[in-house]
Amino acid sequence: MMDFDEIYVKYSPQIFRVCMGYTNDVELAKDLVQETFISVWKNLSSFRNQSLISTWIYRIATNNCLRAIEKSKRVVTTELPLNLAEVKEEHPEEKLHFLYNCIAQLEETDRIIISLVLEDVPQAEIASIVGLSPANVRVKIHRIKEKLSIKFKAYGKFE
Amino acid sequence: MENLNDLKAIWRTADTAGLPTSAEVVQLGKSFRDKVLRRKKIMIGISCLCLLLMLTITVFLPTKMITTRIGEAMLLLGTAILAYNNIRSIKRFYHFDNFTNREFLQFLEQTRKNQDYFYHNTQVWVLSLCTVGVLLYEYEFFSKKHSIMLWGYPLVVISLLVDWFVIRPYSYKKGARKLAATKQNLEKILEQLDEK
Repeated sequence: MMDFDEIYVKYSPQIFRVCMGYTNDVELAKDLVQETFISVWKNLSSFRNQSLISTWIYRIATNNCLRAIEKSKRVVTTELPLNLAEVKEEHPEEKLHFLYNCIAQLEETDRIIISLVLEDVPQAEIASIVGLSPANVRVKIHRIKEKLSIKFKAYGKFE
Repeated sequence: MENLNDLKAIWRTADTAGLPTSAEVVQLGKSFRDKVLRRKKIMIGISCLCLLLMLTITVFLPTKMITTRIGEAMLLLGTAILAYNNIRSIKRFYHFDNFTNREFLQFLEQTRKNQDYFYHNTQVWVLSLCTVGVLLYEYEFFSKKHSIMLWGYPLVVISLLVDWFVIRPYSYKKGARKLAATKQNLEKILEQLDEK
């Protein structure tokens, strides 16, 4: 089994991106990464390989994200620029910011699912992280892509 | 159209350089204490301590009146219910690290229901037992000390009334508002996971 250092180096950037996708807030995402890896560190010895280690870590991270509902934390949804067609040559940072804002307007579970899709997590693994059937995840991914496509089109990002 | 691969490329440009190192996370982990768990452990500790104290008093302190014995029994029962309730709920906080999102939300929903039940039932029972228990238990002491009976016993009654009509409604109101907000959010998210 991998030791904690290896796990952290390999998965912390992925977990940060997923938490960013959910919260759209850098500081909150960093806090969630810390909470996630503290749980991983504390429970690593009891991890019984019943699932992939990545599934286990994603489950902890996404559950931590969902736990924010108990703390009444809200997702940051800043206004999207009115005319994005004018800023086609924007910087990668702006593109990323735009993507986060589009994702922030989705429902909670949709934000988790699309973040995992963007992390290249296989659909079967997403199903076992979220707790849905693979067929249902497939349908959901399709619908989320459609919703994102509408948002992108509305702001001139899709042709 | 920016296809999924383009979006993935944008997604990966996120700056992850500001994350703490693994050593820093381990350091944090050593000092990190889950607030909810800590609160529950403190509550278990206090109620167990009260239970022990009451048992010791019951065994070693001579009493003549039956009211004192009944009061002791009621206080013992009240603290025992409180300790049992907290020990039972603390068990649920372990081994949920491998829950799916759906299971985790169901766990949160069950926790919310338990808290709701506690406010409406267990807390009322415990408080009732302790209130009557204290009044009965103190009666023997005050009946022997007439000089302080006049102001001491009413003081006990007033403090119990404050518990019932000030502290409990305040904490209930605060907790109920939080529970209602959590319930609303949970229902909304659980609905999203309905297999349609």
